[in-house]
Amino acid sequence: MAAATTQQQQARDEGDRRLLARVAGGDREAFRELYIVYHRRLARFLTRLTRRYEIAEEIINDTLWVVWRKAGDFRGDSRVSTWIMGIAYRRALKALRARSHALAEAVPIENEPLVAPDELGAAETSEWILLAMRHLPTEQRLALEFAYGYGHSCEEIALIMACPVNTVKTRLFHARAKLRDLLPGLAGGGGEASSGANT
Amino acid sequence: MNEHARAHDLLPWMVNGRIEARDAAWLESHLDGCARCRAELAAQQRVRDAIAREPTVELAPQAAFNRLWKRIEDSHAIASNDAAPVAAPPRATRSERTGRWLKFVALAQAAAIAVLCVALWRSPPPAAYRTVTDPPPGTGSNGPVVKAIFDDQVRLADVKEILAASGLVVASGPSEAGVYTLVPRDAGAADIPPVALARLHADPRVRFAEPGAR
Repeated sequence: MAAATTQQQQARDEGDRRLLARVAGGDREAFRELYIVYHRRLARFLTRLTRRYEIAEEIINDTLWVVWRKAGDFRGDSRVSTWIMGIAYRRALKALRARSHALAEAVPIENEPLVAPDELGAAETSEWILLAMRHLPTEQRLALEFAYGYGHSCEEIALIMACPVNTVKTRLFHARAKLRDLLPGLAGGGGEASSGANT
Repeated sequence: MNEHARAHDLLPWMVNGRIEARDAAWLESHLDGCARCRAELAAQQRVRDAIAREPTVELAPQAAFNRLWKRIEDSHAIASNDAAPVAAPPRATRSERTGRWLKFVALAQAAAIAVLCVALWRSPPPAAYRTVTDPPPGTGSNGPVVKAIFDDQVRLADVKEILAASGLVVASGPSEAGVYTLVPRDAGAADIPPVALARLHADPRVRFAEPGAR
């Protein structure tokens, strides 16, 4: 599934803003609608991050609890999704710290490829990529999730992760390098990739 | 910064559609002549496709919402009872929380009982929430409805478009099974217009649509 286009994201944000305004007024039905949308969105990366749905749900509910209480404080400086994702990001880090990162970083960092280039078949590529992502430090992994899973811009990711734009670029740089090390066949068409290395 | 490094930095934003038009034009011309960066583009597209895939686990958002709503109601009951600040969400681990949780439940229960007593005495306005046995909001409890299921890939904008074309609005849903209850936009309509059903049936984004009972 490709990331949503900018137009689709704007339309989605307008819908989110209308819902959030009603939530600020204490509208339970609007809150339920917003919850259903964000439960689905947040569950995707949180379940992958924590590998346990009940912990993911705990983080989602902590996040939406804050949204319920702070909806009236949202000033519209960013997209609603950026704001909510920022809250979820902080909640997720706290949840992981409380569990001593046992869940998020159970896989030791190694430099050996997970799979040889010629073994990376098209059918299971996604599985290998998701497995390889578990070898990344949490911050690098989340930068990738925000960019590719949710289509956030570099500036939006900086807002979500409360860090400079250059830090986002650095995290993505290292995440990509690590994935390349773990999955040498990731670029596919190995011949073209290697022959083009000197261009 | 050399050309490859610049291209390398820009690729994620081309892959996720958030690249600036000016950068996109430069990157495209660079890619035309650079096999290495084209290979990196292909790699990043694979990573994006893997990450953007929907999870295979079955989610139950309504049940999760009910648990959160219970927590909110409990905290409101405490806050309104003794004017204490709204409790912060529990942050401790599950095991650390058990003791505090029991105290919290007892306190919430006592507070809820107190609030209920006051509320009964004051004869309160109708509740601002619905239970599953209440009729959905809409154009009257006995009006015609359509039960519909949209394709998993359908976005909110699609749903709005489908509803606008068929002259229907969502009265409730989605249920846990993803079923929406739709009613005519015209609140006085005695029946679902056949053309509305025909439009839903003809739309490939609608997996199921049939008249139903509330």
